[in-house]
Amino acid sequence: MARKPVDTNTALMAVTIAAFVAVAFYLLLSLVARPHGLTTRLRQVSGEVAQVETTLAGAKGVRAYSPGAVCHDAGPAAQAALKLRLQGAASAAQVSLTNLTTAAGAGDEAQGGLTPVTFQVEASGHYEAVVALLGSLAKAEPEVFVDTADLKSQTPAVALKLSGRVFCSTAARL
Amino acid sequence: MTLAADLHLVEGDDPLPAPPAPQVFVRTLSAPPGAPWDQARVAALEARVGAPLPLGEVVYRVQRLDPWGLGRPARFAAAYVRAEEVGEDFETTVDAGGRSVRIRFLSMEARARQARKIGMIGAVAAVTALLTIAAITSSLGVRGETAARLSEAETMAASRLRSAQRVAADHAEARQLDAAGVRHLSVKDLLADMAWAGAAKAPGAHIDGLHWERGYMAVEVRGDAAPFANPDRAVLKADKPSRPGVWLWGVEPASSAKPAEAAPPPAPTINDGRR
Repeated sequence: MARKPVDTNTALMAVTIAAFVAVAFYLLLSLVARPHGLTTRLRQVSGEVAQVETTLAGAKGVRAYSPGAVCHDAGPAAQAALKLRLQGAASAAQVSLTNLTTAAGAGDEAQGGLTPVTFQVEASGHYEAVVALLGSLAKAEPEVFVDTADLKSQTPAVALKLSGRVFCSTAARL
Repeated sequence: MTLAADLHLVEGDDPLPAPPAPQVFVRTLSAPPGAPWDQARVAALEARVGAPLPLGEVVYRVQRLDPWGLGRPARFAAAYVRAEEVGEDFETTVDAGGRSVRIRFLSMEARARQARKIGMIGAVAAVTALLTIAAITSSLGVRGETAARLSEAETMAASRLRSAQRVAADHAEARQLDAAGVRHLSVKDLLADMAWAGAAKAPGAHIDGLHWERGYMAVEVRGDAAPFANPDRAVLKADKPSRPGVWLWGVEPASSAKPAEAAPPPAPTINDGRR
């Protein structure tokens, strides 16, 4: 059976239609493969990465304080928490507290704008116990800063007089 | 006698006589009310059963005479032709049930060819459909993967941002603490000074008390002998005893002294009556 010769125009039209279908199919697949809001979300991620770089660039340098050095409680709560912590540390170290006072200090912008809570502790016990108390306070958060410390030999123990501060910030903890 | 003498030219050669037209046998069939495909199946079955010749010798066609109607029986025309008379392709008009119906018969080979063609088209369509489904499925997979990665990147970026903000806040707090002037006033600094005093204490020295104020340390020592042996920090004796037989020795802050070796573990510095 003789085959009919292929008409050039028909072939050209078929190829053109096939090309259009292929391009349309490619566009459809691209559309399907693209998550919703891709460009916006990518822009947001890029913005956040740039913000991280900017933020970290402004926070260079060696830190001299632990991350929890500053408390984020209000004044009375911070005082109560400090008192509890000092009593707990003394009890754990088996040091007897003879005096413990705390007071809210005034925030001073010239001194960093933090609000201090001052304390005074008088305690007595064996030297190792007093050192254990100080060791416990050294690990405390917020960080305890010492203004004065007096250790006196009082046979058969040592007496400790300690005055210092912790600092609180009104800014929310991140 | 020659061969040429026997030959003669035939003038006006008549064309070969046309083959006789195939005999078409027509029947009218009826199918009970039902779905159109059910009616067609009933008609086809009846056409096969009622074929005038064995099915191998006959080619038949069944064609609906009336349009389908709900709840109405259907009429069909069944046309039969001997297979050997069909040739390649035979089309004719027959009268069935009072209507003229045009029917086309194909030879077995033509029908097989047509079936192959339909099969080929079906196969190509199936392959195309499979490829399309595979491509769309793959695209959906890519979409899911991209979305998952994007989500991961968003989570990571948000986490890094929170972390950076926390670091920045910590540094801001550190600057505030520095402004409050407490950089070397931690309990750790006090303990480090006590450890230094314990390590540097001279044998036989009798330290009665230790006073520490904002990084400066002073010790009360019985006797006028130096309380520290080979100290790496500047030590200064008071001009006068603080009490009879007790001298005050000042020690420069660690932060202003030269860097020294790591301090040994704290040892008792103040007498607590046990030694």
